[in-house]
Amino acid sequence: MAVEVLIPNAGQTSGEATILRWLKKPGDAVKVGEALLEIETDKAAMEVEAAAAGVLQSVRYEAGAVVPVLTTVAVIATAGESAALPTHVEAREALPRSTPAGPNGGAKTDSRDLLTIMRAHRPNRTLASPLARTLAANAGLELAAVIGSGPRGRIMKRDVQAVSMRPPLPTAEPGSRWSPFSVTRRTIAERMAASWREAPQVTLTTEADAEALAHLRAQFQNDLPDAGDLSYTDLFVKITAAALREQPYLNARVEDEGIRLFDAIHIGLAVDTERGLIVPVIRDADRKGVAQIVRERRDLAERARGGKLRPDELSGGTFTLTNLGAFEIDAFTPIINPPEGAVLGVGRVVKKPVVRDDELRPGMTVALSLTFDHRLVDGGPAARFLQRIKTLVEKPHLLIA
Amino acid sequence: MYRDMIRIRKFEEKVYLLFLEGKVLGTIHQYQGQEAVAVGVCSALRRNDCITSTHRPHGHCIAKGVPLDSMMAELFAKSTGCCKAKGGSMHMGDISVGAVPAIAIVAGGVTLAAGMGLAYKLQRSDRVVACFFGDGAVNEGAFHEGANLAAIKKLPVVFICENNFYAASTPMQLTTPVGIAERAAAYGIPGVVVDGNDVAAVYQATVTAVARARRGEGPTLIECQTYRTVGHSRGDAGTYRPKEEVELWKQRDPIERLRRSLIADGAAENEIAAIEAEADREIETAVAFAESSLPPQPEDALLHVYGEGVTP
Amino acid sequence: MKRLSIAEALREAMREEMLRDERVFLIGEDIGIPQGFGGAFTVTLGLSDEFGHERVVDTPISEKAIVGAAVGAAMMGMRPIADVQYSDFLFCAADEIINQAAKMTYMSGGTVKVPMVLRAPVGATNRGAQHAQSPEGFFMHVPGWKVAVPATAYDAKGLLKTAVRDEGPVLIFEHKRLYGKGGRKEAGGLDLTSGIPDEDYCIPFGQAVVRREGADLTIVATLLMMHRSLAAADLLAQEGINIEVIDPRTLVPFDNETMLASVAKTGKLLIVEEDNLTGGWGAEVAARVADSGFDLLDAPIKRLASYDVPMPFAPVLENFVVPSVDRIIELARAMVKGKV
Repeated sequence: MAVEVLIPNAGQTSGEATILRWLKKPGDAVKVGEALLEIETDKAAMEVEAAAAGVLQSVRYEAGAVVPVLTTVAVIATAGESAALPTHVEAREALPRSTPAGPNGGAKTDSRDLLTIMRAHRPNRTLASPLARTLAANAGLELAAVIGSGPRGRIMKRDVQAVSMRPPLPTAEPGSRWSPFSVTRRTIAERMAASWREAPQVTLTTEADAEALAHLRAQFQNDLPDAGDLSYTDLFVKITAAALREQPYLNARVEDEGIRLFDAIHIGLAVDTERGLIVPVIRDADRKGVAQIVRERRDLAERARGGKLRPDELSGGTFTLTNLGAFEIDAFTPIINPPEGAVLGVGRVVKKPVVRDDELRPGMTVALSLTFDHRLVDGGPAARFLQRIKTLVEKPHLLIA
Repeated sequence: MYRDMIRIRKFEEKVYLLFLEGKVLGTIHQYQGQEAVAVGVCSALRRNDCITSTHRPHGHCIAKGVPLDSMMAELFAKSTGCCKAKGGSMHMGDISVGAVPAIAIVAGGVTLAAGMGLAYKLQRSDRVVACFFGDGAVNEGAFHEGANLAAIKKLPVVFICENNFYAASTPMQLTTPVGIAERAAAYGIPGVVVDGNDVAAVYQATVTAVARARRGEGPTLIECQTYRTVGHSRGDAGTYRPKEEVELWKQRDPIERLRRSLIADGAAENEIAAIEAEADREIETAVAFAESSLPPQPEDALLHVYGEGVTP
Repeated sequence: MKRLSIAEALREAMREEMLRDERVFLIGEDIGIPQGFGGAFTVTLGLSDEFGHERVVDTPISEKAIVGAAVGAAMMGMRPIADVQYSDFLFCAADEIINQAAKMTYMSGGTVKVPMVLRAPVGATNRGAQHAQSPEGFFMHVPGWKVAVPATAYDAKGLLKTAVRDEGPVLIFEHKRLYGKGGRKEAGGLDLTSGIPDEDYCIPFGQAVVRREGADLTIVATLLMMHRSLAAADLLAQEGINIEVIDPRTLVPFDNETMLASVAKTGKLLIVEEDNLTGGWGAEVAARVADSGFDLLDAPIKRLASYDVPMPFAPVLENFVVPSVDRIIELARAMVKGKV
């Protein structure tokens, strides 16, 4: 039995993934659940795990290959299969045995084993038909730029034609360097452009008194076990979720001439990683206590940076929270994470002179920026929502009212 | 012997009708008129003696004891046929009764028969092989080589030439300068001519030849002069033969002759009728069997190509 | 362990099988005549002294009868080893080979077996067109026959034994220039003897041997051409070109797996055969690799074969027609360097 190792369909918008690196090589024994390779989709980098125990064989694509989703990239030979092909110099058999040819006299060789042998000796070989090679050469195309749609990923004439119909690569310009989009970058580019195009976005800003919030944070850090790194973001998840529970019209999105309101509140946290922006989701944030939110946030952020998130952890958000306070940013104009309806941007909690009881004194403030889809709600309701956030920030004890 | 001749005649007549109905496919080379040769020869053989046959094998096979239902099923192209529907009319046979599946290449069986005789000799058995072939075959190289080898090695073969005077449409006078039985002299073996429509004469000649072979004295060539009262194959109207000639031979019908002779010797008409009725029933049963049998699976075409396995 | 030539190894195989199984007998021309040749190439020498003329059957010059009798005897349970003196004469018995031996098992629905062996020497030896053919391609084409092409004494003995024990008809093609002990210029001056173990051994059909390993080019070759390919490979190794030489040992069944695995490694296939190019066994093998090995190929599959001419007599002409070591080197080098 051979079990195929597929690039999973993880809800990527682009139907492709890049193989970052193989964690196992052909011939390695693998266990169920063991990570075989790392891939990068537009959502995140993630690992593909073995669905069966056996021996990894027939690795078909090298690191760097961009393959369509559900492509078979390798095979796991489960018990009973032998991967090795004999090479004998002088064969000797004790028992006489005659092996009549099948009527077609044809090869019974598993073509996937042959590709494994080929790659062991000619690792850089791309599978492409002679015609495709000629066409690519004539068009000045590198085969590496072409994804093959033929058997076993073979590049065929139609694949070369598809690429040559794309606009040409930019020419070299002195004093500059051009590099193509990575999968993540391209996806972000496409999504941001779509968001900008489709949703008329308005940003409202306000400044909240952050003294109570700062105090709350210190208390939690002290009194909750293992919350030494409890951050403002954790508190804002709780605050935002509570506000959404009270004013659910922003826990929604525009969809097909209508508005879809969601029952559950799943808050996406914008995380900055080397690869780009990634948004893991904390589900049912309104039903979780701060302690749990801290744990989840910590785990998600770490795995986001390590590229180890699962597809279900990257999807399903109903509202996004983005905090640029660490970079000394105050108010800004975040772009909505499509297809959601709104996004809250949080700035730095900063010491500032404030007016309280008509007196000028040192205080702490935080800038809050709400961008909303004006198709979904108007300025008034949006402003009310932001005002409520401000209220909860300044009077966090209301969270347990 | 009457019984077997009647069975052959009725089988062939039935097959002819079925062929016209499209139930028997391909082509058939029929034996009507020559029954005395097959029956006369096979009656002189033991069950474990073998025969080789030709493209016109139905009569030989029936006389040797191949079951009618497996023959009919083979003609109907069913998997229950004697060759599992892989052979057809021209390769009929059943080795378990000593009928080697027929060789349709003219004279192709002659060298095979020599080899079979060689095997019996090496095995120190006293089996013999009767090798049927027609007048056309004696001009094939294989006839010469097989007869020569059998003669020089004194192999236990009886060569039976069914001379019906025509090789397909070509009459003997155009092809054969020397009489068939006379050619035996070239090999130093006895050559006899018998009236191929006299079953007793054929039988006697075969008995003599078989005894000679069993004694290790070598082969004999028996030329049985006979006539097929039907065309070479179905679809042959036989227009190359003069009508008078056909009529003349019909007068000498071997079954009629034996019937008259049996009656003259005291056989009762109703006994003969009973034999004929039984033959009719046997053939109807064979047809029913063939019709109700299943055809082979298409993939069976891939079986039996190579000798399978190795016997250490 | 002793060293035997192919002729000696074949003789020993026959002798051992005849001792082991009383059904085995030999049939052919000039094979048992007292004080005779032992067949055209001495292979059966001495066997009639040991087994008598009943089991070593001398025949008239009657190829049809030789082959036909072998078929008939095999059908009756014997295990004949028939031979013709030159493979060209197989065509005299073409009907017996193609229409009887090959088809009997099939036409009888599997009820009649034909466990015979037919041996025939191939190869050009300055005797002119009718004593020179390498007709393996004709018979590879016939469903029902297995075809062996032993190029070494070790293989000759093991394959003949398997052939005798096989339940169906087997053709063994031996090369005239490879029978002797070797040292002959035509065979490249190679030692043609092999070490033959004392114990009984059979070589299964359908198992090729990698005679030489290399990663630059795969050569598949049989009989004399296999030896010439090895000689070419040795010379090319001095140029840093490493050729993998595969000896299929049997054409039917053919060891596709070993060949494809080699092509997977090298990406290039050269078939070297002595039969003429059009419709030779190489054409069949090339078609298979073009099909099953399409993605492995870096270059077109090439066949080096005799030209499509009847074999001429004069040595200068024959040497031109049959692939030489030099021609193998030239084409192999061009393939490795990507020039074809």
